[in-house]
Amino acid sequence: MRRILSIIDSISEWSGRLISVLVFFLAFFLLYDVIMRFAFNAPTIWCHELALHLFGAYAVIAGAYVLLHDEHVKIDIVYNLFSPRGRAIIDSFTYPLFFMFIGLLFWHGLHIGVRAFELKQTVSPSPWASPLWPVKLCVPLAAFLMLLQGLAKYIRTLNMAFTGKELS
Amino acid sequence: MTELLPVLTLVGGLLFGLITGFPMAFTLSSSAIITAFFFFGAQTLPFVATNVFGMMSSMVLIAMPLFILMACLLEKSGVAEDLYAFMYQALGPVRGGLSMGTVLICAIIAAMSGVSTTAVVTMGIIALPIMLKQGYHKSIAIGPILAGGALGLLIPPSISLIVYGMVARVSIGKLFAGGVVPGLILVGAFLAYIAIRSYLQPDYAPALPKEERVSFKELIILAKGLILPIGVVAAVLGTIFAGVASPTEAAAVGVAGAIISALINRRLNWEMLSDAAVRSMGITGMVMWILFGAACFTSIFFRTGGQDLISDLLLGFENPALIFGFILVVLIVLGFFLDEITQVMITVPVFLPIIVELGYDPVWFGVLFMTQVQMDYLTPPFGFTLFYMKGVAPPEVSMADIYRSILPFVLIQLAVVVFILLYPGVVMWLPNLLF
Repeated sequence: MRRILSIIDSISEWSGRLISVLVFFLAFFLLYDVIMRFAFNAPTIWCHELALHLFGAYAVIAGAYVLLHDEHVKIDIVYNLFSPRGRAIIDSFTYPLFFMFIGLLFWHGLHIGVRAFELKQTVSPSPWASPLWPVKLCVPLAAFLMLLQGLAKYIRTLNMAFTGKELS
Repeated sequence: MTELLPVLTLVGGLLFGLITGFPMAFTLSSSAIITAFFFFGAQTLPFVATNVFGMMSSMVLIAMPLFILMACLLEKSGVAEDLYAFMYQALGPVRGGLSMGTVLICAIIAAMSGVSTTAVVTMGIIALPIMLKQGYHKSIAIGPILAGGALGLLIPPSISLIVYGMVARVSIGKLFAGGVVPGLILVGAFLAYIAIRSYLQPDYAPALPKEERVSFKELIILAKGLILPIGVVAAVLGTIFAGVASPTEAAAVGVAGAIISALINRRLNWEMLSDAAVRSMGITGMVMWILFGAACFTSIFFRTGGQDLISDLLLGFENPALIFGFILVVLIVLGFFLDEITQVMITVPVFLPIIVELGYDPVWFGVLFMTQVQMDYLTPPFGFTLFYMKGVAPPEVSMADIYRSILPFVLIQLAVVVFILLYPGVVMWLPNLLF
């Protein structure tokens, strides 16, 4: 069990570290476009659109990393009054809602992504008209990663709630 | 006729999240899902994916990770230390000078960074121990760091203003320009308070002893530390205000500027770059997931007709002063509990149409909003920065010291909020001049 949990943790960790590099590509493409536009008066048709795709993937896939590090903003005024075990008991009641949301996101995201692929949807209006399915399929991918990490988190939470001990 | 039950379900879900400490992103989305399922039927549920995807395809939001990356890089590039070394000698000989210098440095950091915690953490580490060693009273040492840090919300570039601009569909450039004058007024007011207070109470913030001061020539050498940060700020804000580049592109310029600064200070290496990239990804992910949840929440809120309910109620007051009073009270009360991104996402779509109907500019309201949100950062229980401060402060600083130190600064902020409310021209002058 611990081995599985730590594998899930490292998947989330590395998915985050991997996509974190995209921010340099974002900066580079946008800068490239500015330079082309002002120095050479030759704006690109693809830089902004590509940046948009990259940003979409970046934003949504970061979710699992944020979940792993427990950095999703929560209002903890009341929550922090409880002991770690008390918090785990609260979480074991609230987190099923998380699975409902991410599960729906996975299902409908997959649906929308597959339809974008089948219908060959493109960005419009746009001169480059790049395909939309890669970024749309990032939604179910991110949801899948979140489900994995959420499951690992939930197993730890339940363990804490029942035994009062950490499961590392 | 609006049905009340769906609205109550939504609001109840929000309250549930506040009490149970369930992350905001999931609280907002799951209350929307439950409301949609019970009142509008299961066939509406794909809205979850479409709203998330809609939020992912926002050109304006691309500026966010870039500005965060720029701040993370500058934080590690040593510019804050250089700034402080200069301010220490330039203002130290005056009573209260180190506090005033701290406010000024915070303002410069705010102009390089879109989040308020950057300044609090760096100044808490660099400036606070030195001020305490020089015999500054804890209040006049801590307060300026917190108040100065909160300026990051208002002084461009500001992540919160970017989110506001996206929700309210107004130009980010105008919003940034609108934040400048109120930001400077706040800086001026903080400086004036510190100067007067330390003039009247000489032992509150003593001047630097003569033997620690340096000659004028050495001061000029230290002034080199100003060149890089001011250069980066000028490049970023200059390109936006001159209309050369969009805020998103200017953010990319800022990233390049930050990398060059680090290179000049010989701090650039792979480890620093990858640390900064991972931190930017974490912060961006955190904000974006709130936006995903909030997008689901607001789309269902509109479907329930909750919007009409509130605007009927408010416009029913007929007296603009009363309406504004009500809105401000709601914002301040919500601010005690919610982080500012959630607050923008759920209150702006509701209040903005009312503000516009009354004939006010959305840009003005955005700036007013951020000026007001600064107070939330400094007031318990959700005062983010207070806890960051406790985290980096020397052990002799207690939470009570921190609470005591903020009071005069919060009062100044409140005064500026009222001032902006009464004289909208203060905010609108620069945007109207530039755009």
